[in-house]
Amino acid sequence: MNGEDLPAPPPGSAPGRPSDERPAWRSPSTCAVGEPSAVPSLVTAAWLAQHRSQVVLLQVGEDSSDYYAQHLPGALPLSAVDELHEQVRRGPVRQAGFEALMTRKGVRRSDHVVLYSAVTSAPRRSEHAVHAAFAYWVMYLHGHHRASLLDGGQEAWEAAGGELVTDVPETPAVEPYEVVDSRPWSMLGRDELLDRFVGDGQERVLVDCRTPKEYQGRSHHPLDVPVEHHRVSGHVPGAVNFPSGDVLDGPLLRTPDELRSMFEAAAVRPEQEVGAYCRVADRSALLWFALSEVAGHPRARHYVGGWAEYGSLVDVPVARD
Amino acid sequence: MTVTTPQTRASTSGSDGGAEPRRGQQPPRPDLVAGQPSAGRPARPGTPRRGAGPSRGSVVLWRLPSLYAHGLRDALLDAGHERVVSYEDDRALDAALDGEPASVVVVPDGAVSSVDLDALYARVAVVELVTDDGVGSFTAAVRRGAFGVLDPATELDHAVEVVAAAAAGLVLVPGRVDAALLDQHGAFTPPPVDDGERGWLRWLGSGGTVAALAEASAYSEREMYRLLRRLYTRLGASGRTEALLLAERWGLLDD
Repeated sequence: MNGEDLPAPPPGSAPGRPSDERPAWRSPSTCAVGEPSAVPSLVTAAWLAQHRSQVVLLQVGEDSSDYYAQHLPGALPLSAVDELHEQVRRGPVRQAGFEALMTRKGVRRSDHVVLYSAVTSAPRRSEHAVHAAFAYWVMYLHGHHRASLLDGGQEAWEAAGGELVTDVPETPAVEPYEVVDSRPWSMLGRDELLDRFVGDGQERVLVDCRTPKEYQGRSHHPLDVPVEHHRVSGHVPGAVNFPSGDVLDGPLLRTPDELRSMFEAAAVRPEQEVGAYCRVADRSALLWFALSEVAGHPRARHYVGGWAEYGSLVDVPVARD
Repeated sequence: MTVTTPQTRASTSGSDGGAEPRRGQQPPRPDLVAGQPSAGRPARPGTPRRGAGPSRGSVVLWRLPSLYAHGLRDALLDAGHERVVSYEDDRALDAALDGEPASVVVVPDGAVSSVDLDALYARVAVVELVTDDGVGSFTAAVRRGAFGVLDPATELDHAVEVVAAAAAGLVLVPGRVDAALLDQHGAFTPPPVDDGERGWLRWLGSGGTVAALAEASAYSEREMYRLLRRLYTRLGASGRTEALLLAERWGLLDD
C-alpha cells in the first residue's frame, strides 16, 4: 500500500492525505474525530479487571509459546510473526488475511479488543511490548476502531494481583469479519518516503526509533553481513533519533504530557507529518502508538519497511552522523 | 622507511601444518583468559602492568577498512582513549608508529605478513582484525602473538573492550572460542538438538508458521508450542528469533 494511491477519506474519518491545516495535538484516548464508539487506546490493569468479560483479550507475542505457558484469564493467543504478517510477500497482513484472522479469533467489528504482551523481565520489556503495539497498529490499519492496549502488559496485571491461567478458552463462532473504513494512509511506503520525506525535516519528519548506535551506523544486526554490503548502516537523512524504549517508564507508557514534551524536544512537531521506522516494524509500532494514540499526534505514519528495506536499497542517500 | 621482510613462525601445534622456525626472539605468549586478569608474567618484557581501561598510550589503527576504522576510532574516543590515530594510506607500520607513543595497534590479519612481527610485538600490543569469526582465525592470530582479535561483526562496544584488554596485557577470549579450546576434540559443541528439532528450526528459519509445523508434525498447536518453548530454553533463547539466531551461528540450520 502506498499513501499516494489513496482515495479521498470519507468525511469525519481518520486523517487522510496531509492538508494545509495545522491542528494542535488531538486529545488522546479516542479514535479519530467523528468515529463512533470510541474506546480508550490505553487501558489499565485495574480497568481490565473490571471489564474483562466485556472485551476480547488477545495476548500478542513473537509466537504463542509464552501464551501456552500461562496467560490472562480468557485471553486468546495471537502470533505477531505468523499471524500479523503476510506469509509469501513481505509486509503486514493484508485485508483478506486480516478478515480471516479476525474471524478465526472470533472477533466481530463491534468487539472491543484489548491487546497485551507477556512482558517477562525488565531488560526485555520493550522487546515484548512492541508486539502488542504492532497488533494494535495492524487493527488500526484495517479500521478496527475499538482496540486498546493494556498498559504494562502481563507484568502490570500481575503487579495488580491478577491471576494467570493455563486453560485455553473456546473461540466463539462469528460471522465472517469484513473490513470497513481502513486507514491505509497510516502505512508509509518506500516510494513515498523517498519522494516526500528524505531530507525534509520541515513539513515532514522521520523518526528513527532504533538505538543511537544503530542510528549512527555503528552497530550491525547479527543477521547483517557487513562485508557483503547487502545492507549498509546508518539512517535516512533528516531522520531524528528517538529510541522506542524511551516511551516507556518501567513497564508502563509515559503520560501524554511527558510524551508530548519529549517529542517536541526531539523536534517532532504536531503540525508535521511524521513517519516512524526501526529495523523491521516492531519498535516503530510502539513509537507510533505512543506518538499517535497516547500523545495524540494527528498525522503519525508507520514505515514498515524500516531499515531492513531502506538500508538495502541501491543508490539512496544514507547518513551516519 | 621500508618494511622489513616477514619472519616466519613455528606453529605451536600440529593443526596449522608445518612451518619454518622463526628467526629472532619469540614473542611472549599471552595467557589466554576468559576476561579474568592473568596471574602470569607481564604482557611484554619490560612493560609494566596496567589495569584494563582506556590506555594512556595512543591507539593506532593501521590499514583497516575505512568504515570500520571510523567507527572504531569514534568508539575508542568515546570510551576515553585520549589519542586514536588511523592510517589508511600506504605508509609502513614502522612509519606510522615512529614517534607515536602507541600502546596498541590494530591491524588487519592480511597485513601481518608484511610486518616485522618480532619488532612489533616487542614494542606494542597488537590486535588483529580477522576476516571471519571462526575459532581457527582467532587461535591463529593469538599464536602469532596478538593480544586481541576482532572480526567485522564484532560490536564496537566489545571491540573497545578488546583494545583496552590488549593494552593491559590481557586477551579477551569469546565464550565460543573458550569452549572450543577446552573441548578435547577441538570442535565447538552446541546444546543437544535431535534431528527432529533441527527440522523444526529449519522450518521456522525458512519462514514457516508454527501452525503448519504442528500440522505436519501431527501435534496440536498447543503441544507444538510447548515443545518449541523447551527447545528455545535449551538453546538459551527467550524466543523464536533469538533461538534461530543462535541455531544459525551453531550451524544447526545447515543441511
